[in-house]
Amino acid sequence: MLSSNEILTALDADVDAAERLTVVPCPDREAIRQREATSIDLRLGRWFRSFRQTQTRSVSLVAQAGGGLRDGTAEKSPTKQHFVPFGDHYVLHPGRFVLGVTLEWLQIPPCFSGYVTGKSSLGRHGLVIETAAGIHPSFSGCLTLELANVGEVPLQIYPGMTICQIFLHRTEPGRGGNLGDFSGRRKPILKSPPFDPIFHKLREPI
Amino acid sequence: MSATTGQASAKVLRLSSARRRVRAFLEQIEELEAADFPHEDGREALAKIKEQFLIRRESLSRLPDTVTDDVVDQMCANTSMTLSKFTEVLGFILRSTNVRNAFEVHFPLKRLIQQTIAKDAKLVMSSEWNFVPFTWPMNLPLLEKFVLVGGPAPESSNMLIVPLAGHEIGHSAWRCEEVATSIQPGLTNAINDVINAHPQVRDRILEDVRRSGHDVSWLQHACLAFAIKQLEELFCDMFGLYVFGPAYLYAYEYFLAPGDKARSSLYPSSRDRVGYLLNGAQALGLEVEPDLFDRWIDSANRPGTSGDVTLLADKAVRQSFEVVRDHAFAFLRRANVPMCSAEGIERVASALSRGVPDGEGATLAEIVTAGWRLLRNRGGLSLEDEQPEHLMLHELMLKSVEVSEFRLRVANA
Repeated sequence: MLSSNEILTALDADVDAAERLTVVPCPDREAIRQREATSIDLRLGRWFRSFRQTQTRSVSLVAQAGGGLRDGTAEKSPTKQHFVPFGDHYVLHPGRFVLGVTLEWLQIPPCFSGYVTGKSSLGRHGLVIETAAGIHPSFSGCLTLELANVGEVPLQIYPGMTICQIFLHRTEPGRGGNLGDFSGRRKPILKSPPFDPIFHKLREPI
Repeated sequence: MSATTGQASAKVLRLSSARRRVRAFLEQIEELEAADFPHEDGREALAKIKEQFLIRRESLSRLPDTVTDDVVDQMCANTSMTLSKFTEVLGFILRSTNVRNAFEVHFPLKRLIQQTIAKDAKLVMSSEWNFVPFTWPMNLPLLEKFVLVGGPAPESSNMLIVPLAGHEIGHSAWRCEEVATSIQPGLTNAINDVINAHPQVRDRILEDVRRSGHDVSWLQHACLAFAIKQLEELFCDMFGLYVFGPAYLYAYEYFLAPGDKARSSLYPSSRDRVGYLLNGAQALGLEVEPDLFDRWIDSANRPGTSGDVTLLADKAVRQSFEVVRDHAFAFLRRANVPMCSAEGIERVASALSRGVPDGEGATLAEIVTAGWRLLRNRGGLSLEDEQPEHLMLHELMLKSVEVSEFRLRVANA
């Protein structure tokens, strides 16, 4: 796991591009240094995506043959987007689930990977963020966060509040990062899982 | 009640219809109030309209049966007119909540109008089912503090046409600055000079309009009306050009290329207009690709008296343009509106080309100009397999705008 010094070095704009970690807006370097943090705190963004329960019978969680991970998938999904301005809040009711997004845009270099965890102070109120979501090397974009209220009272969540943290690891870089690809998004994304040929064969009649 | 049929009189039924129409309108507002408003300004506009229609409902319900037919007719006509106008506005406010809009742009544009128009001005950004950017520049009787700006619905998420909102906001500046009043004496002189310098055109027009009992003063007024409208459009162009720099020209070209043959007397001809834009760009020291408006189609004047009047108005506009141009630039300088910095554009372009947003607090103009430069350098990104790159560019621009807002809010807190 990267130490606070290693994180600060990676955040330096002068570091070689292949090892540069970009977080926009940049986290408070002094705070990372002072608390010798081995993670970077991330804030909640302003876009949310909730499911349209009244119009959805069910959603298949497996990709169909010929389907894929096209970005349009999310737009056609049975979800509704919400924009909450700074200073306002989103109320997450008990038992409900919403996709959020980090305010920060991350670009992870090919030599790092990481995982996201929620803040324990929020978890104690019942706000759960998908535990230990992995971030692959060369990821670029805002992180989609799966937020659920497993508590007993409605929770107000505010764009700009600290919502989660990422821990980073050094990884043997692959042959080619995808820093140049164009998959990054500023809104929460709902992707279909990738097509699984083995699963597909299991569904075929023998 | 009618003495013969037992039915209520026409007057009573007409009044009743007006009351029901106002009630239906208020019910519609109550439904809209439940919408997710991305910004408070839209909700406030709705509340203002509701307040006024509650007063109208009260006035209508208090009218006694003894009121005269004339008063009822007047109330009903006025109610119909107001309902007609504000139904359109309600639709506009409803569409402002649609998530296809680039909500992130509201903050910097609102700052622009508060800096230039009025500190307490409000902004509602929305879209229209009409392929033209448009505005209600603080000219709605119930919404004096509100600037309403909209783009065409299919383009409402398009960051690259945001500079055209600069033109629309310019209309509010034109009104608040009372530019028409200040330029009128000089323009009137210019019109008189032009009329005297073109006796053949003048006489042709007068020969025609004398049949309707008009004389040269009619011609002067007609020219003035056309010229003022044209100069307002040019003032707004200069406003957009100053604020957004080359991005204004790119957005203009995107929207209107290659010009239009149809001529409106309320606008300069399409080729004159790009000529004025290039003149403004040169005055501001902006770098413009020399072929940006190449092969631009001109819009020809219509034949006949209307075309002749437009011809004279065009000549007066030509004489007055630089005064209006300088007026727009001086107004924006006084308001401390910054122009794009070359360093800022370069820094943003560098970030965007690395696949990350700008994190240093660039202005909206710098972000959108950098976006245009990248898009144009990449050949326009219109092919099917270039769509991911095009989409990513928009995402990065909008994220850059949001990060600038974040930085500004944190710095000013």
